[in-house]
Formats: sequence, C-alpha cells, structure tokens
Amino acid sequence: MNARIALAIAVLTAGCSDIIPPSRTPRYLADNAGDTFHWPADRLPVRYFVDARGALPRLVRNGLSIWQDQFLYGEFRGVVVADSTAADVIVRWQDSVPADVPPDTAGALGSCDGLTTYLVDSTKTMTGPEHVLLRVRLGYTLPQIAECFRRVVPHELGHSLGILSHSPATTDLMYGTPAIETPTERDRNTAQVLYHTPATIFPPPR
Amino acid sequence: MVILLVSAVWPSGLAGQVSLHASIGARYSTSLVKDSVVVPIDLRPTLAPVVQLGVRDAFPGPWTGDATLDISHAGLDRRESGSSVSTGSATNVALTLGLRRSLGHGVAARLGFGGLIYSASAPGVFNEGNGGLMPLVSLTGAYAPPIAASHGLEVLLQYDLHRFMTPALRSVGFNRPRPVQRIAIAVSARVLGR
Repeated sequence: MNARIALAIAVLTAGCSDIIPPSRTPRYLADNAGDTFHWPADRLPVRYFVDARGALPRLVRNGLSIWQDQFLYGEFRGVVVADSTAADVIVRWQDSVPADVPPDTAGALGSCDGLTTYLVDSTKTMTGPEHVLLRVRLGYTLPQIAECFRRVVPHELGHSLGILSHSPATTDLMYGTPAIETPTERDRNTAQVLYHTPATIFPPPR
Repeated sequence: MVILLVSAVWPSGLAGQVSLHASIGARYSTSLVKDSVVVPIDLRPTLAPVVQLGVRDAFPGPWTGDATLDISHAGLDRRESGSSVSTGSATNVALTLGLRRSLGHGVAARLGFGGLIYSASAPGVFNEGNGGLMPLVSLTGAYAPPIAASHGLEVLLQYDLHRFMTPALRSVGFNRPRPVQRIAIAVSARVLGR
C-alpha cells in the first residue's frame, strides 16, 4: 500500500513540475551599435499615419497585424490614425505612387526599397515621430513592384517597432533584401526578446 | 443547453425531482502561462466574476446528479519585473457533469468532470486558436444555512483544475500544457423546482 501511495505522489509531482519555457533561439541582434529600442507598454498602441494613396494603407494594416501576431502577451500593438501630427510613425511614398495591381513574385527582388529613420537627442530620446519612406526603383514591372512592397512594408514596420538591424539570414523578413512577406521563427524570437530587453532609446514625449 | 443535456441523461420520469440552480460569485485563478523571455513573465487572469447555472436531479438517498454550466470573464495581466500590464481579456465556459452527496448539517460535496473552452478577443496566446476543449475536474463544497435551506440558498467553495495550452504557445516551443487551478466562492439559489 505504501508503495502505491509513493507512486501516486511521484506521478502527481511529475505532473505538476514546472514547465521549461522555450529558449527563443535562433535569433539575431536587434540593436543598433549597442542601442536598443522598443515601444513601452504605456505607449501602446503605436499610432501610424499612412499615406492614403495606392496600396499603402492595406499593406501597413496587414503588416501591423502580422507583427502583432508574433507576440504572445500583447507587447506590441499598432493602429492607423488619420492625423499625422498625432502619429508615432509616419509612413509615406518617397516619390511616385505605384499602381495597386496583382503582384508577380518572379523578379520582384530589389524592385523597391524602404528606409526607416528617427532622430534622437543627447539623452537618446527621439525628437519626433519615426519616418518610413518607400521608394519605387526603375526597370521593373508594376506587378513586380507590388510584390516587392508586400515584403518591404512589413520589413520596414519591423524596424519601426524596434528591430534596428538586419538579420544575417537571407531567408528572414528582416534580411536587407527580404524575399518573404511574413516574419520567420528567427524574426519572431528576435522581436519577442527585444520587447523584454531594457531599452536605451526612448520614444518622443507625447 | 444544460436542460437539453439533462433531459438526455436522466429519464423523464424523474422530472419532478429536477431543480434549476443559479449562482454568482468570484473566481481566482493561477497563471495560464509562466514564461521566461529575458525576465520571468506570468500571464494571469484577474479576479473574475463567475455565473453558474445548474440542473440537479435528486437520486434516492443522499446523492444528487447535476449538470452545471459555468461562465466567467477575466482580464489577462502580463506580470513582468514587478509590473503588471493588461493584455486583454478572456471568457471561459465550462460544462461539467457532477455527483453530489449530502453530508448532513447542510453540508454537501460535489465532484464534477467536464470540459472548458476559452474565448478571447485579445491577441497573443490566443492568436492561432483557443486550444479547444480542455478537460476539467472540479470539487465543490456547499453549505446551506438552516435559515435559508427552504429557498435552496447555499454558499459554494469550488476548486477546479484544467491544463492550459494553445496553438500559439505550442508554436513557440511550449511542449506541455500548464495545470491551471481555480478557486471560486459563490452564492447559489434554487430558481426552479424543489
């Protein structure tokens, strides 16, 4: 009888032992020369103003949704706002607005590019909103350009939420010239770790 | 739904002994998720209101069978580095079939088995689905003060246990569901039947 009781206790103890959390590897460094940024909880949802022309509003909404889904505990949320003066991030076309056409994946790589910028003061506090600029490159078809922006917009949104560097892996969304439209496991792990790492760059005061 | 289920489970000849009970109370829950991403992270439901609707059928002797529908709605807090951030909310619905025994002096005990399902509008651990029906076991102690016994009034103390896992947790590498223990205190009253 005692052996049965001991076995029962052992089974219950094993059943209730602590579960080991996943390691969040592989991942890459998200910092910029040692500086780290992420939006703090009291600044969520992050407010995005988006140029209303072409496919950009849809691409940004999709991109925000994709990135939000990478987090388990609501660490990042973004919304599109109508007023650029109330925005934390401003997303615009740099020059021409590409037609919103069905994408063509063949030969799309490099047919567009994007740039995310921010300015900080001496206390490493941003002096204004982040700016995301998206640019069409010459020599490509409209469907190729459309496909390129399906990759580059979520890539730039990844920078805007705090991934300040590029992944060294060519298969990641955050690689310099992304060939996919959604974050990989490496991208996801990087973003999750970033949002629990103390930031050294701070958002602008509201 | 409960009434239909009971009709299917218990013979119609016993309908005269069937009673409907409603209860309202509050529930505490242990963490749904314990994680570690640079720092330890807890995802824990807040203290939640709970509503129960149960159909009981008195068997011969001290035994009573019942089916109970239990609904509670809790906020979800992320606890990390000494701070707590609200990350949305979740509703959970449990249906249990139980056997209850009167122990005398207005005291009764109930053992129930059933399933629980989460429904959450918040993103995060429910991103890829709610994890489906989670088996649940519950143990309830009830006390009916003599002065209120004629109205079927009772104070309930309920403990239950289920194991929590969602597809989103599995996809980041959680390989086992976490046992979640809940304790509810409620006041119950008979609303129909004897």
